Amino acid sequence: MLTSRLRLIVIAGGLLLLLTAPYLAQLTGSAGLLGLANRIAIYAIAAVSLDLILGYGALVSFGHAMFFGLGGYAVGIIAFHTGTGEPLFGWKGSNAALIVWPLALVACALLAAAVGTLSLKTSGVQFIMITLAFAQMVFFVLVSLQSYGGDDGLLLDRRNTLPLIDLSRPTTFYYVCVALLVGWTAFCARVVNSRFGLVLQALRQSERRSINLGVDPFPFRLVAFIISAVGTGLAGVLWANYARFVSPDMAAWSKSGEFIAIVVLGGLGTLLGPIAGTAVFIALEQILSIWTEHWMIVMGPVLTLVALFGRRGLAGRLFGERNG
Amino acid sequence: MAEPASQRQAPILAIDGLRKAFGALVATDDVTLDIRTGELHALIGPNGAGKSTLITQICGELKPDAGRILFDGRDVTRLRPHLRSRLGLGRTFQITQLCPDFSALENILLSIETRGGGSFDMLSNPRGNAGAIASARARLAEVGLGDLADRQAATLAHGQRRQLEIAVALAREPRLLLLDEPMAGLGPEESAAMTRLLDGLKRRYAILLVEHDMDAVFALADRVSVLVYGRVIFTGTVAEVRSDPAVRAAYLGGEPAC
Repeated sequence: MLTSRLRLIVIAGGLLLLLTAPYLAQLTGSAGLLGLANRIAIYAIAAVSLDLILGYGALVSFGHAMFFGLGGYAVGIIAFHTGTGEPLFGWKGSNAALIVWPLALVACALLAAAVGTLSLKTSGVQFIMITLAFAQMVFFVLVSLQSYGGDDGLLLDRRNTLPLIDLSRPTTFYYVCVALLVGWTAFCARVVNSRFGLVLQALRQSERRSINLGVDPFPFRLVAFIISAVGTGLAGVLWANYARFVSPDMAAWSKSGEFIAIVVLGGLGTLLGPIAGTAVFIALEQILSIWTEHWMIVMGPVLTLVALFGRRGLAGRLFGERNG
Repeated sequence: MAEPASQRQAPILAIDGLRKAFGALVATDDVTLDIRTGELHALIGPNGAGKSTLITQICGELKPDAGRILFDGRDVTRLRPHLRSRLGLGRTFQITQLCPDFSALENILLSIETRGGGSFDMLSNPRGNAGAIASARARLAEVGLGDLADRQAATLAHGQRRQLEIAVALAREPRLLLLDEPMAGLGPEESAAMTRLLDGLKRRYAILLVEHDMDAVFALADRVSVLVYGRVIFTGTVAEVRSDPAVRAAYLGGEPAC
């Protein structure tokens, strides 16, 4: 079939672009290109994660930035204590990614379990408002953390370390991000097409039918919400390492909105679409902000057009055809 | 008409003194009803008689104000709907409830998968389960949709969606089937086909059939209950219902008992 061949070509092309970005940057002599590609890879992990519940579960979380922020701050705070030697709950801290990153992800999972348990009792607009409210709480908690920089955020001395892999090298760090993006997307695709994913998608299409088939909606949605939060937290962890800087803005409501915009731009319920959406969004942001600081003036209409005319987003037509 | 064998058994569903009021409107008024194993029991009544309200209470979507519902001897009056379904209560809806983006086959697979409430297995794809697929295809063939397994549910014709809904309900081997107006919106030929389909299900499943199509009801039912203003005014065999003056006055409107 034409679309399936085109889909393969686009996927292969996208992957090739991701893998060769460092060489392209070297070739063209523009050092900024690698940074741009790295930001895309990191944000794409968050976009894929959000799509898992937004596209497949129809759960419009307007608070996903809280997990992005928490993942980042977990890295930042542990790095701060490791640097100053001041113990954190009696722990001297660590710089090892294999210790710090899982801790950050567990923190995100716990927050998601709490937020999900309360917010998933509601649906529709109430769900949107409750997730937003929790994200705002996290935002203001981060602002109030004076010892960790408050409003100004926190600088990290250096990136976390992995055995055998030198994360301080930009190219290496970039490939680690790409590997995590590919792995995470493959995992999410597996989840979506699994027995669990079948029920999750059925709940989106007809909750009434699902309940009358014996499904209790809450645990399925909660588990999906937690997985999604962990993925977004991973993006936050990587962001903190990439920028070596965390600030409350990571958890701002506008960041949550940006994530939703990226997923809608790329194509709801397609997983690969949001990756394309991230690339377009971040690249446009980069290009337009050179031209004007009010780049949203252009981005706004683009989003509107896509939402109006491409019901399944930029890449939805390609990736969305009966994707389970 | 008498069925001594099934009459001696305990009923699969027993409704006892059920009452539900919305303000001053009593939608279910002291309803007592039972459905025997293997029986096709039709529930008829004019619009607004409270048929759908009764069905939603049997399924648990609506809580009654008073009375009890016993499913296979077990009191399920306070049980949540998904748990009732797991006990073996299958249903179809007046307005079909399917997963529109799923194929016909996937809708059946979902029904098979959720028999025990659904799985948290995130790695195996149910579309690769040969056993489940074979039994899902058999279900589709049974209701006459054998050729349409891969069609997206949303693109099926109205009558086909009705058939699919029955296949979805059957796929989990229910102990009781609640069919809420399965003929609604069907043309004469489709209605006849649906009647044949239901006739084939008779005896194998206990069925509560809510239906307006009197030809179908009289052709299929073992017993008929007549609901008027939330009350069951009569329960009996087809022959008894047809000749009962109160029923004719209230509902059949003097229509000749042909």
